[in-house]
Amino acid sequence: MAPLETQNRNNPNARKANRQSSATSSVELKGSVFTLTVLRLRSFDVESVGAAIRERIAQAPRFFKNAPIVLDLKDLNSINKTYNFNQLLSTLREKHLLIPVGVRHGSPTQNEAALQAGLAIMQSGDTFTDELDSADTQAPANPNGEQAESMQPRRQSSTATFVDHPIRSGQQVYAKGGDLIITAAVNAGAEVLADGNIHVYAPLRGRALAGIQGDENARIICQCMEAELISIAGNYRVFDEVPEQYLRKPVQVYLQGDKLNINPIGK
Amino acid sequence: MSQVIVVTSGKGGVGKTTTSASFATGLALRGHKTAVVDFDVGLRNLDLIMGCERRVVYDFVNVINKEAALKQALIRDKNCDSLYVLPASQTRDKEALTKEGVAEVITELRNTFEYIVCDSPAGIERGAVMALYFADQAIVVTNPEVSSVRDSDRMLGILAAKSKRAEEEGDPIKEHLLISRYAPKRVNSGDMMSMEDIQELLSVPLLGVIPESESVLNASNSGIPVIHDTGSNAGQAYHDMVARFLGEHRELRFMQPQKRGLLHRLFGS
Repeated sequence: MAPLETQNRNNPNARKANRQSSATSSVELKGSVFTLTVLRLRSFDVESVGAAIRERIAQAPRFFKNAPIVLDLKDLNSINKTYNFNQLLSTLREKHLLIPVGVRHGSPTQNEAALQAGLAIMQSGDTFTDELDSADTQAPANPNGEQAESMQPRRQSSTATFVDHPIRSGQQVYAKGGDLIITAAVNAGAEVLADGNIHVYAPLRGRALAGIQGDENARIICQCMEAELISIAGNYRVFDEVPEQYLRKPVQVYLQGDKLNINPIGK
Repeated sequence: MSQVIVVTSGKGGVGKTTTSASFATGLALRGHKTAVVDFDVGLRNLDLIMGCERRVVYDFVNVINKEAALKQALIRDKNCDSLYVLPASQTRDKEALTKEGVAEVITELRNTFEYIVCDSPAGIERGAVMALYFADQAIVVTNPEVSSVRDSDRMLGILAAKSKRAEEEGDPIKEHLLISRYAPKRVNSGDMMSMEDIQELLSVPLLGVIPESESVLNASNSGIPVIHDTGSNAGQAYHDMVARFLGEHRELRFMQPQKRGLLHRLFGS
């Protein structure tokens, strides 16, 4: 099975169009999913931005070398003056070896300026990217005066799709933009997909594909593991036989690197 | 208010026609005016099982094409006054079934009959979809065997998606599970899926369990639906099923391997 590259994987017309163009032309257009680091700007001042970046990059220089990044302008929307990105961009490129490819959450004027500077306007709404800037949240102190472990929510929650009837052989359910919660069986030959996590509070006997837009943090959690296939962000595994240690047991599946981990839940 | 009931399965050879014949007969024997319709255009079997294959003059497709009136095509059952058979065409194919044509025939049948039993062909293509499209209730016939259960599951999905009630977002079709060719000895030995296994996989209310029985072959050979064979287990199980359908309570019988005496083994099944 080819990695899920586009949202149109079930649309035969999309695939046909690609094939036609590649037969005759010298280019091929394909949708693809990439994980990008987001640089959230709190200031347009090149000096202070530069200093902050230098500090963060020092923690993992090799990771950030030539990394493609997206500039998040949410905190700067209130600044009305038109901004010239060029100076910031050349600093980022030359001094810090980062490669800005686009912006997101910009105001209309900021977007216009970004386009002028050759940056793309990225689709906002997905927050699956790691944030380069650390959030200065105070970890909540518990009554004993100890600092509780800071529990940063990994991402914004989107609406979950909820299903309470069995998914039958040949049926497919896709939870777009969020999690999928099912409280009845997913039968053999059925397929459930989600941009986010998949929770099945019943036997999972069919196929489950989580994080299909590329979210590697997505998980599959089920009460009774009998799945034919599980996949997270395109990394999949088929089961001719589900191994004894988690057959029909409650498990959670998550990605570590590009390896799928299956862990029993509870004892 | 007349009821259209489709007898379907997905899988072929599980007992749809056998069930349609006996179920319709059972309803008619209890005084309800019933029509049983064969939707298997080109491979018709219902007329054989009902024993009227030599009395077919006009068929379902003739009526749809306005080549004959419904009254002319309906064949009265020789064993039961309240029962009529609408046979399928043997020479045409399923393309002859149009939604509008079938709709008209069903509407006309609703005017005269209390129950209209639609015997579906195997598969999930046009014939099967036509058979289920106008249904109010569905009996999904399943053998205790993995491919039959998978196909029944698929069919349940199709019932929930492709019927008229589904398209118009009305009340969903009332679904019933009928397990047929059940062999308790093989269930106990672990070879065959149990009733509980099947119910767990399909999650549909159980209408009945028809045991594997030699009487079924005898019935189709003689053209008399097995429900008339009150001595046979299958016949009795069909009576139970009809009773349950009409709201009566019946215990499930024939679920345990039977100890058969010498005489029984020699003469009965």
